Amino acid sequence: MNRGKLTPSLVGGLLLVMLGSWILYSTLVRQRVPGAQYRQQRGTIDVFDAQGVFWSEADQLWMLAVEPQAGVGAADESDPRIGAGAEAEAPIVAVWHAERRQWVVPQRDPETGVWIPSEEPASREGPRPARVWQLQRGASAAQAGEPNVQFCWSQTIGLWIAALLTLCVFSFLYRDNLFYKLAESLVVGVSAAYLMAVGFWTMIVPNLIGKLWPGFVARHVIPEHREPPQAIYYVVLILSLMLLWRLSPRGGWIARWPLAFVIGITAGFRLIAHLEADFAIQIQATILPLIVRENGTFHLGFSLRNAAIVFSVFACLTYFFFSIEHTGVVGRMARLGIWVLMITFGAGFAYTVMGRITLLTQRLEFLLGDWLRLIG
Amino acid sequence: MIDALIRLDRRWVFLAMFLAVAIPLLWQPELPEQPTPIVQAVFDRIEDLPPGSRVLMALDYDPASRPELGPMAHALTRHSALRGHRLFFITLWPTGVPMIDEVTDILETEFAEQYRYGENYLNLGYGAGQEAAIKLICTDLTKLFPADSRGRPFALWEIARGVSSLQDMDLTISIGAGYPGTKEWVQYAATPYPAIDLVAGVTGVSAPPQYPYYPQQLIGMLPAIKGAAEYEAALAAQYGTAGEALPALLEERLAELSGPQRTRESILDAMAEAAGIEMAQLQRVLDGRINCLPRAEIEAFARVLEIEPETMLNAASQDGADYSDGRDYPSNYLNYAHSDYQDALKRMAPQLSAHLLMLVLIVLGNVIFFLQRRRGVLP
Repeated sequence: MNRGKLTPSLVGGLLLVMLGSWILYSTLVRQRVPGAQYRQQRGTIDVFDAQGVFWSEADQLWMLAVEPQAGVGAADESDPRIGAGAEAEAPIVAVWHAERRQWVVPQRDPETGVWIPSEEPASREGPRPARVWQLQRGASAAQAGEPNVQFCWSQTIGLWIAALLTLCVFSFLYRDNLFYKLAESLVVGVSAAYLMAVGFWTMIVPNLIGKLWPGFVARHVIPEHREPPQAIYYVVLILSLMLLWRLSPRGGWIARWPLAFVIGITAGFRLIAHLEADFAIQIQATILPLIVRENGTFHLGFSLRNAAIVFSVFACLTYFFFSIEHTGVVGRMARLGIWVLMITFGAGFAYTVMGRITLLTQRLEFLLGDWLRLIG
Repeated sequence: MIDALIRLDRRWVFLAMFLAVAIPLLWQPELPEQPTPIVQAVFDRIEDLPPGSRVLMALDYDPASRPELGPMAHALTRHSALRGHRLFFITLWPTGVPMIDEVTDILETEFAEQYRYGENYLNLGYGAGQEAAIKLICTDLTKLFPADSRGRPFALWEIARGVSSLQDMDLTISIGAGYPGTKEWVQYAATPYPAIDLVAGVTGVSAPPQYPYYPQQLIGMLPAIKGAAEYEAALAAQYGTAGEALPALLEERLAELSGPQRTRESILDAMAEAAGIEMAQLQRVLDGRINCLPRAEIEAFARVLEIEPETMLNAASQDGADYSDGRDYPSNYLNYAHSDYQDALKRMAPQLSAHLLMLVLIVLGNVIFFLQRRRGVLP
């Protein structure tokens, strides 16, 4: 027990007390909850899910077609409307007037050619919006109190969780503990789940299932997905299933075939790229004039730079040339090669330190700025 | 003393590093930055492209590298948008999807009047396959990205007209944190296809191995946060102004007119109403974040503050606005010399103090090492 002595534990405790005091002072006296997040109401958007109603990105309008739009409930491989331009050919009978909240007769903008709503109500009554979305945007703390600016509970709680998890990770600097382990496990779990979800919905669905059964994907996942089925992707599907066979207790050898395919392709793929980008062109880049002249004038700076590059490459190559004993001139050259390598490692280490300090800086910016509002 | 240093609890070093970074953050000193040739080459390339050029940005990084690469992506997006280029965003990292959202948010807020989704920019989302993906899009973009991130077929977007592969882009920007990243873009795009012009932004860890690619395979590069800070300095020099004269004039008149009869808040409300802008926008003008205003807004302010419009236009002109020959500015013209748009530059002061601390620690460590060797403690 270090009675009366300044220890890291004491300083850490003092920092935590200061943090708690500031949070209490800010909340109770200044009446500003640390990390309070706000959102600004910027209008509403009507959303339809009825058949025959579709959103046109180009016109920024909800449109009502005579028949169900291609890809919205009626698409299949035999549907003649599937393909580029189907949207433009759809018979539009009405467009949704967002302000009047009713179906109106569509008209073309003479300048841009896009559909715009007219003031004339449509003859045909269309479906009503299934729901209304609130259009909101994040607002700064300085905007608090302005019209349409509200305190946002969900984002505030999210920011507090982020801040507390950051402190949990920092607590490892004191010693390994439960809070650190909790944060670490959360990062691993959330990242793995996120990777799986993104990979499935953005790659496997459009690039595998969408190529094999486009009608199914159009009906249930991506309404505008339009392309003919491609049978070659059954090979991909079979190879993928064979790869998953590793998980089976029997017949694990089946996974070796697709694995061999992947390794063979990757090796061939990388060999060419490395030879071209990192070997041939790098040799070319090292063949430099040792005396540089610009417009007939000798340029000392460029000449020294080129000489340094050529000399350093020779020195490093000599160090890695083990067929001759490193004595005499070769030994001295090899020793210079070590120095060049050390300088390179030093530059790499310095860059790494710069990167790590940037990470710390950003986390402290978050804690001191976004959370505690100590910086503007 | 030496014995105390040998027995020093490492947690004191952590505390010293915390203070070395936190104090400059709270103090916020401004450090000058000058673009180096490798950074200037990136800036010049984007600056020299004619407006409307196609630029593909590959944001191959995740939240772990966001502090280093985020400022680069923001500055490059702002610069491209200021030049009016058409932007395509992709990522080869599944965790890079929110990074694209963060960047497109800049276009939707700062360039809301000029940039429209599908016309001026497109988010193609995540593409799996690492280097195979790069090789594929060099010859056929739609094979990897049949649709954008919203699921609409690529070919149906207006911005996609005339685009079939990466070779149709006027510039490719790789902002990469590792594998797949800039190295793969050099190996599979820039080297085999000389028509593909590539610039890069990389983390500190991966910067040294990328240097040999410059200038043959990479036109330019932003190495680490220092490269981002240099780029922000170049952007501020080209598109930012001091922005002090107009805010000073406004504050002066506000102080003169404010009193018991008419509060500052009521005058600000009247100014915002007369100009037809939100209070947040007016606050940005007072903070110096916007100093090139539409002429109509300046005239509205002048009416409320009871001064000659010409006086206020002159003040704005001192800040860099040019109203000669009837020239006007959009209401969202921002001052890129303001610290709000300089995340990397703000992070250079903590870098300086933390590096100084590191140097002190390295020197101390060496002194202790040699003293111990002299004492015979170490061989």
